[in-house]
Amino acid sequence: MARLDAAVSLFWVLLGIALCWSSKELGLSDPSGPGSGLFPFLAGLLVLAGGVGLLVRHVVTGGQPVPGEEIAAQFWEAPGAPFRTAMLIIVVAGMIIAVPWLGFALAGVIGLPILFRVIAPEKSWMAAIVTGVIAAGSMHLLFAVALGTPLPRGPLGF
Amino acid sequence: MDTIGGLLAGFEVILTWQNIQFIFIGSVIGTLIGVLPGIGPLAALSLLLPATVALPPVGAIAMLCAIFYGSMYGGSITSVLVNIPGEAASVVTCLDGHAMAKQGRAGAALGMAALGSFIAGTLGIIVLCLAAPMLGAFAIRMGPPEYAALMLLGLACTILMIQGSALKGAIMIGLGAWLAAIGMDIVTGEFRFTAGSVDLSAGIELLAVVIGLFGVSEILLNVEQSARGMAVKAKLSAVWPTRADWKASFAPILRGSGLGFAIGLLPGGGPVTASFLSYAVERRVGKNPETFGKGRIEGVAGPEAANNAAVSSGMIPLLSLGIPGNAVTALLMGALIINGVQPGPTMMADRADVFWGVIASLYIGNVFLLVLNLPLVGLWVQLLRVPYAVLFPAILLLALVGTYSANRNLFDLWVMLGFGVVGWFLRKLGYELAPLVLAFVLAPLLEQSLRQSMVMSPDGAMIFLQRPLAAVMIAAAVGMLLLVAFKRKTTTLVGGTA
Amino acid sequence: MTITRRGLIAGSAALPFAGAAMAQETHPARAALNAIKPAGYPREPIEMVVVYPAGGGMDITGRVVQRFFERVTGERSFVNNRTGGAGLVGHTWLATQAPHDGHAIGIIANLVISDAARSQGRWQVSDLDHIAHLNAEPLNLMVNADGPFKTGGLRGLLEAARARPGTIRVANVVGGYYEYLIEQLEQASGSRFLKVPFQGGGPGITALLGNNVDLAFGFFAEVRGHMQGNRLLPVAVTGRQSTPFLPETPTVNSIIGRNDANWGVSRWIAVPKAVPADRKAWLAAAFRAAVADPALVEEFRNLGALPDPALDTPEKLNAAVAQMAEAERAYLVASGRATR
Repeated sequence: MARLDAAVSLFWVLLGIALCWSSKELGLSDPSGPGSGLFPFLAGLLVLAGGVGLLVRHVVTGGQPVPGEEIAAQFWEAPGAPFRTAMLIIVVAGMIIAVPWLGFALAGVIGLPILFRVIAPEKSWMAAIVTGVIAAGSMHLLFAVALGTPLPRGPLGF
Repeated sequence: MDTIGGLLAGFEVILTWQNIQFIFIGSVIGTLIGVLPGIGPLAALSLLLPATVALPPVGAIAMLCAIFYGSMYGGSITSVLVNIPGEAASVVTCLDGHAMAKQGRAGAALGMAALGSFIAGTLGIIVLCLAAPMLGAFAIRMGPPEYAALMLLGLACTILMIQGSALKGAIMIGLGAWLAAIGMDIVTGEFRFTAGSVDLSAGIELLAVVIGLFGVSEILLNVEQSARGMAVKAKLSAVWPTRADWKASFAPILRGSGLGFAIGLLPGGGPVTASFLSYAVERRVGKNPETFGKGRIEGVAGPEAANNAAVSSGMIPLLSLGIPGNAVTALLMGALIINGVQPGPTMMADRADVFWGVIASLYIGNVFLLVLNLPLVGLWVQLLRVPYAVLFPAILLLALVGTYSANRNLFDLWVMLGFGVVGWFLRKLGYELAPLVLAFVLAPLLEQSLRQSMVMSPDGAMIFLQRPLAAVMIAAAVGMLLLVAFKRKTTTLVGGTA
Repeated sequence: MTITRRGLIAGSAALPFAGAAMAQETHPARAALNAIKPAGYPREPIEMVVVYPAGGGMDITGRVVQRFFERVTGERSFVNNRTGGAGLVGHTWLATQAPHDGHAIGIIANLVISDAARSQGRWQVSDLDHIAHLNAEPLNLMVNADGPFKTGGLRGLLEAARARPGTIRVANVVGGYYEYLIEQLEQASGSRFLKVPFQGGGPGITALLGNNVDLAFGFFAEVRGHMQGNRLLPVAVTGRQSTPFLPETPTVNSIIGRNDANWGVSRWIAVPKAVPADRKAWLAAAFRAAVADPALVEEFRNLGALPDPALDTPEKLNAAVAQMAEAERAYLVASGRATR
């Protein structure tokens, strides 16, 4: 983890430099006072300084956290964690992609049972599908019917 | 006294069966909006705005207001139970509220949040009644220099919130300030960091950031670790706050009420800022600040009081001057105009029925919400018995729909997911996300008012010294930074030997 | 608990349909409209896009118009606020992404012209068909009733600017009419103002109330309450003639001796160019009938805007929009912002 922490710190240094650079292009000051780029420049400076500080700390202490800083002991702690995390991100991304075509309700009916099984693989597909349909149905009733939110519609008209 | 007379007349207006029903519906919808992550008061009000055209003005406004402050009551519930804020003003409630829930004290946290909200809401309304015109006149005199100073003070408070590494906190503040700068620069009209994208030209939506950083990332953390079992499945014994809880919470509630009221009064302030600052203050004045974040009831009572007080005082500039201080009150102003009521200094005289009727409705709504929320605490706590396999997918779907409904833009959903993954990753590495959100809210206000001040002033930064109030606030901010720097130094030295 | 539940269900179910109930009475123009109504249209509620936030001036106009559209046609519709980028996001959606079947229309204003320029060639005002004019109103130039310029009017203010250049503070909103108007005033006084930038007209008026600026511009609905409360005074209005709402107040043109200080807002209905002609014709007729309704004119009047009887056909409106775009372009060229 200490190595990953240092790598992220390096990323902040690079991001900070990039932000300061592009803010400078926006102009740090104009005749009437601070320019468009001054505030983003300061923000970039803060990111840069923090990153440099973390790198220095890494070199000096060997990546020892300060009190109150809760760094996980290792990145993947539980068995199967990378699979579950990746599945969750993929399913949610898939639902976002599908929304314009399927609408929220249908995307939910398809996506939620998969998420259910990712979280609780010991449960049956039947339970997953029932849960998905009920959750998507109540969401639809709440937003589309009760609140009248204009939502994208799917092929079935909802 | 004509305040009492007006208020009595207001109660006469509002105490009809029909109006009571509107307030009740508003309270229920508000609580629900607060509970559901993803949908906030602004989206809910704009969805319901068309419906109010058909209602009488007093009832319509009373209902919309009830939704606004009702959402402040409801927002704490998911923060405490599943560590996912129901809306942005409840982000800090997660810190200690969820820690309490892990210790089996979810009931106490929720009960205290409801009571704190009620006390703050009621105190706020009393001050609103007595001093609305005077306070309104004061708020309006605050110009850009005073705002700039106030926001600086607010950002200084952010630093007090950081619990772990100050370096990582600084990075989060910088990141938040940069993210908020994306979009159009109001001073020059130029687009910044949009890379030619129309979606980015609108800036990044706060709701999507909050739901992503706190909601999606929390679900990712839990799902990833699901084999380790559920953390909060603990005992649900203590449902009510104890005598000790009360004693600890009393002062934070009063402080939160005062702070929230002051911040809500100012245009640009609002419940989000109020709750963050109250948390920072409680950590500063409380004994053993290192135990904050580990289940201190003061960290729940103060911010929950503050966000409700800010809602009450936010009504002052609107009702007494016709000036909306934030997006939600701007919407309420639109609702008044749609209903044929012209908000402004003359509203108190011209439409006394609406003015006092709405104020009277605030009392009634707060009582409803307390009555609704306290008995429900036991029920909400049962939410913890819902298996995560059901709860998390449902919350994700809600977050998607709710975030979409704010702007009807699919881009916001990608922002939400993206911030969810980033938040999950950073939390593993010991980064705190709350300072990022506060910087995201405050930095644009600071930038705007600072640049306005510089334009206004013929002799540069001198304007901050020529305006006494601004000078005092800047001095306070500098003092606070020095204090923190000094204290940090001593604790690091002591901690270094341990 | 039973009462609770019934109340909740009854309340939440009744709300969205409250608007539809009002559309039940048959409007006199309905028969004529039904005669030209295209078959199978509208299939679903029509989305009326407002590109500014809910509760603002544009949104309120949009919601009033939407209600009268339902009253005239008996069809369902809803206002959808597609906000962001000071209007750019919504305008871009209308011009490039909105469906071409007539189920999405825009309730827009002349600010679309400057947004088209800001879109960097992604779309143009002519990508939209402008089918029905709604209303127009000028900008009101206001000073604080207790401030240093409470007497003397705009002339006094311009003289003060001449005497003490760079000290008069004016609330500005960048990249639009506020800025153009300030420039014209600067030219008239021959000196510079301190242009304090704000996010919109409303915050500028607030700053004026607190004496943090000396001059601010606002629409009538934004300033009426403050005028009644004797906190703000009008010193001039934009446009070719005085506004009926402030008959005593002179025009900017008459004071500074120009004829092009006509900045104000004009609102109308626009649809994507590709919408079928019969649907456009029906929509145009429906909105014309709505604007002809005296009750709607009354609502507009309460908001401080008036319909323009001269713009009664899509052709005349399209010509007027082209003219507005041309006037703005000419100004941009004359002020050195654009080259052609």
